[in-house]
Amino acid sequence: MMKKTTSLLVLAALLVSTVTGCGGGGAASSAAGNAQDGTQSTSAGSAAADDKSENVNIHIFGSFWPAEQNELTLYLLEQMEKENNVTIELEVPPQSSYTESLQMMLAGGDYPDVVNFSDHTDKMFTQGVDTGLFVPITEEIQNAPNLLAHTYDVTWEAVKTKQDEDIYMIPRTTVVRNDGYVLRQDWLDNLGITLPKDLVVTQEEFFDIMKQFTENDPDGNGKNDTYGLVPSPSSDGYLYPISVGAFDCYGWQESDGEYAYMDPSYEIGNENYKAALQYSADLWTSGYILPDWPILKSGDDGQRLYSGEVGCNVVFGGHVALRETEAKKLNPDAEMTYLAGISNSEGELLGSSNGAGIWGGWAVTNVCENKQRAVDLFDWLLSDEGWRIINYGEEGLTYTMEGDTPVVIADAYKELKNNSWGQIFVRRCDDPTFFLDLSLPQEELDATSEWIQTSMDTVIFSKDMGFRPAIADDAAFIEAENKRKEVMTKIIMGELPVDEYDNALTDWYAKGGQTYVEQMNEYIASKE
Amino acid sequence: MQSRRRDEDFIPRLLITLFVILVDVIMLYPIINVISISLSSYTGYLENPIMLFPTDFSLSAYNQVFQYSLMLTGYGVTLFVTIFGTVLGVLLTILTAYPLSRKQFRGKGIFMGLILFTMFFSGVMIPSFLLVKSIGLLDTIWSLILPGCLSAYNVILVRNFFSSLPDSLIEAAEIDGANEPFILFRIVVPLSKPIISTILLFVAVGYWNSYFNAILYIRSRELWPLQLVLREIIMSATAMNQSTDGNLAEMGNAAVQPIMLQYASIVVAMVPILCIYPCLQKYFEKGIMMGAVKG
Repeated sequence: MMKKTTSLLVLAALLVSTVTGCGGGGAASSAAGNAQDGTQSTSAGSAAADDKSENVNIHIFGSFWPAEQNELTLYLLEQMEKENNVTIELEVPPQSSYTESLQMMLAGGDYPDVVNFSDHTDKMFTQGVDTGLFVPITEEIQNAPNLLAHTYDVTWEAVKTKQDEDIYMIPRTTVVRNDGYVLRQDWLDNLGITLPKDLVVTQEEFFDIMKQFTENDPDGNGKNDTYGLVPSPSSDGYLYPISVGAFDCYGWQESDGEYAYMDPSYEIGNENYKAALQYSADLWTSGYILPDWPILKSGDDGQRLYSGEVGCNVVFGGHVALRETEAKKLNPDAEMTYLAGISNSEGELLGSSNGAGIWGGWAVTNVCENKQRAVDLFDWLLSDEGWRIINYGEEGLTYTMEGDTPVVIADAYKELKNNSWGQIFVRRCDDPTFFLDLSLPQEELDATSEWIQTSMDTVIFSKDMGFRPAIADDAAFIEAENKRKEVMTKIIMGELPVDEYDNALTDWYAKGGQTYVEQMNEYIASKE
Repeated sequence: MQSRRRDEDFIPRLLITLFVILVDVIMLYPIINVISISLSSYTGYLENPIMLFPTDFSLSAYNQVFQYSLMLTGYGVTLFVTIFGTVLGVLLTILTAYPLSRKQFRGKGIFMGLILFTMFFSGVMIPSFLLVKSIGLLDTIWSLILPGCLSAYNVILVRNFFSSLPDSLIEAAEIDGANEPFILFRIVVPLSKPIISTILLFVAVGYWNSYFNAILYIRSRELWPLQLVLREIIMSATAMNQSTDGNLAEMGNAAVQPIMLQYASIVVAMVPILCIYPCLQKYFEKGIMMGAVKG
């Protein structure tokens, strides 16, 4: 009887403990409450003096790679703390799962002071701005002379997230460029092709180079095993025309048509864009493009260049030397050179930017008690002192001073600099040395600098600045947009005639495209 | 007579043998191919990606994998989590399954129902995160062990096995004065080696391969398990930086071809499990079948 009673009591206790495990949403609710209340106290806090006499704690949540901190990273963090009198608490989730970690952090309620987003239009960021989690830092930015001096004007417009005058992000600038191509120099030599001095070719000349790379055994191995080029792999599975700048297509620009601003890829009957599509289709149907192009992933195009399957890639000018180094591991005779691009109908080299010169940035949360000090930390990185550490590293370790000129110590520089977290924080928009391998011989360095400068000088900013209209999230519009891209892909692959693109656009306009264009026009007009 | 029977059996046995050999080759080939590629140079891989033996032997991929100090900590964390988690998981499974297999336990239907319910419905990412956070396990090694330590499927398997044991054995022990713990650990468990080995392998492999809990609950890199470290190494090498929006300048370059790094990482991750499995194999098959016999 006792045993029976005892077991019934135990059973009851177990049942009760099972159901009391549910509930307990109090913690999350109070965190959300704090998120709203915290705005007031943070504003008051930021009005306090921003002098650096008091050491403050700055908690930074960011995506950094590689996973390990090398000597240069530790040195940079040490200098950041010392020069700004801060203690940095760096929270670095796995880079491969940064999005999930960011979601957990935002859901958990334990907010850091500064959060990194790799896209200023990221939904988590914009929602955080709407709910007040990420606060404006407009006043603080006005006290950041280095950030102001070394950031594009259009970039500041891009981080005015609510389309008012408030800035919601410390932008991480990326140099806006009109990228060119890397070509196998040894193949050009074998075929007797000499590039023009200004490294700009016409459409016909480019086509001919790709033809010769494909058909005339440029590697001299007696086999028909090479292709002209592989364009950049697509991230969304659709194919896009190459070198649209050569066809006078420069993204969103002023227009004489129905709308004040238009992108040629969205304009029905735009002959320039159709010419760009036809050009890519001709390259594909002629067999001058690597057949695997549609299924390649990011980075695969480089691998095919190194292996000698193709003789041409789209490339950032600062990476040509790297391409050659990698190719030589497989073929010691491989040499690379840079082609600035394909000229347009007027013989000019021009191309449009992709975005507003920003690669995400750093958002300040409403729990940050020292907004100015947080902004000052990033501002210091763009000061002469901080910028030298980012570009050259630590004196005595990765560079030495010869008079006033820093000279890199090649081996240490190569090993440490590219793996330093200094690459991740912020950059100067007007100084592409950040992207250079400073250990290259001076002659190569000069050539590379010239290539990068050309790409910076020939870029036209697309007026959309990476803006994403609200309609872009509509399911019907997404379907229409995918259909448009599908038709574009089929045209490039020769499965549809180029005039089908106008039909696809007509359909696109009917299913949300018109709203897209109107919203984009509104946005651009508000910025002009 | 016997030789005629042997002649009749010859062709079917030959066909069955050939079929089994084919299946063996299909199963073994990918593993041998992965190991061979990981020990080859990139040029060798390009020349012959379907190799069975290494071409142009090279350890550069392994050099890059092991030069990370996080590999050592990752191995340590994974070993601790796997060993401790497996012991705890198996113990909890046995302790949960045993009462559910006893006829005298009147509430077992309710508890079995609750356990089955968790197989179909469970908290997703954010509720699980909030739960772990609220009990103070965030950024601790226990967050890699305790969530998911007890699997409903394993409980059902073990319970079914325990149910299949003769009642007379247990009754005899009760008559001799044995209490429940004695019966469980001195009689039932020794008779249950097949099923215990089976779930031990399931649980151990599950812990060895896990990385998602670390993404959710771990903030310190020193607590990253091996699989997460390997994933980070591969992601850094492939330069598939998230959301670069195709910005070529932001994409770096790898010292070792990424494909080689991936294969080396696969080998590094699977070798320990390959070493343990043969020891438990003889129990594995038997355990699965016995657990499935009685509902």
